[in-house]
Amino acid sequence: MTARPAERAYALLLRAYPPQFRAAYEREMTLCFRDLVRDAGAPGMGFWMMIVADVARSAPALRFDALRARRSSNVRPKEGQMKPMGILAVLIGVTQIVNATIELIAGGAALATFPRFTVLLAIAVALLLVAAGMALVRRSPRAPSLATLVAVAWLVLVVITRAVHPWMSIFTLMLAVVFPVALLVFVWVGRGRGRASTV
Amino acid sequence: MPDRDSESALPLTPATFHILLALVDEERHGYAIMQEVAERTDGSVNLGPGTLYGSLKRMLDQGLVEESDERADPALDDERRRYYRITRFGLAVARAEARRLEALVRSARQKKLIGRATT
Repeated sequence: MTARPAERAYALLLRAYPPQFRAAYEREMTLCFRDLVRDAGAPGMGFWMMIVADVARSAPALRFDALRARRSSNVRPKEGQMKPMGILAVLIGVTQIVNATIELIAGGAALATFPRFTVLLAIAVALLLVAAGMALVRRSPRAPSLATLVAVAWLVLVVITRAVHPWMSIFTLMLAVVFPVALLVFVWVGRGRGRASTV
Repeated sequence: MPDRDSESALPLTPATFHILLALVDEERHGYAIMQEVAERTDGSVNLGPGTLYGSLKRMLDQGLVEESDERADPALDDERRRYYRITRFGLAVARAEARRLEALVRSARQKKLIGRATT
């Protein structure tokens, strides 16, 4: 195989590497390959086996590195938006803790088991929300996953509360659903933006 | 760079250590690194372009090596090639890895797995 067709074959093999890596090193690798072909004289089966083995050994590891880098950048929504969203989450969480605690005290012993359980669950979710809000303010890498967990837990809580209090007004229901949905959208839009910026 | 940092980068992969060794005496481009490693190991270690540049990328990220400039190698052709040089941190890590391997070899000698080194 002469140099040019060999380079074309190598260019196909290079597609196994992640795009960012190719953008940075494709030219250098092709030059190296050209030098190897020149020094090998007529590259035979052994040469190609060495090249294919090299690609098979290195490309998956680099793909894995790229995937890991993309994941770690995806879990960071825009910094400027994280702080206000975090503060809002902390405020709503604290309000809910106060509200649920008052409900618990006011209900006292008269509160049936299931409503008591939902109020305690509401306090637990609110505590998680405060934790997620503080993580967003601190721009912790764990903040998006924590916020996702809280948003899902909140939506589950809304469904349970709706079962206990079927008279819940549409307005309250909308209000209870809007924040967790907004939190999920915030987290997932952030992920999407991270994905686009790494390519 | 303090010793603690260089120790934290250990152990190095064989490819990383060979590349650092190739860059200890002078800056080189990719193919020159491959040639130096092959010559020094009597052909027993042959870095392919993927292994070489994959390792170089990680070493750049870790601060073990840095790019110096792009220029042609008159011994090869007119193509401009990217040259790499070892950093001070890379040198400290290479020394720490050599000490680690030396200690391992010493242990192997004590266990009589290998004989004494001839001087």
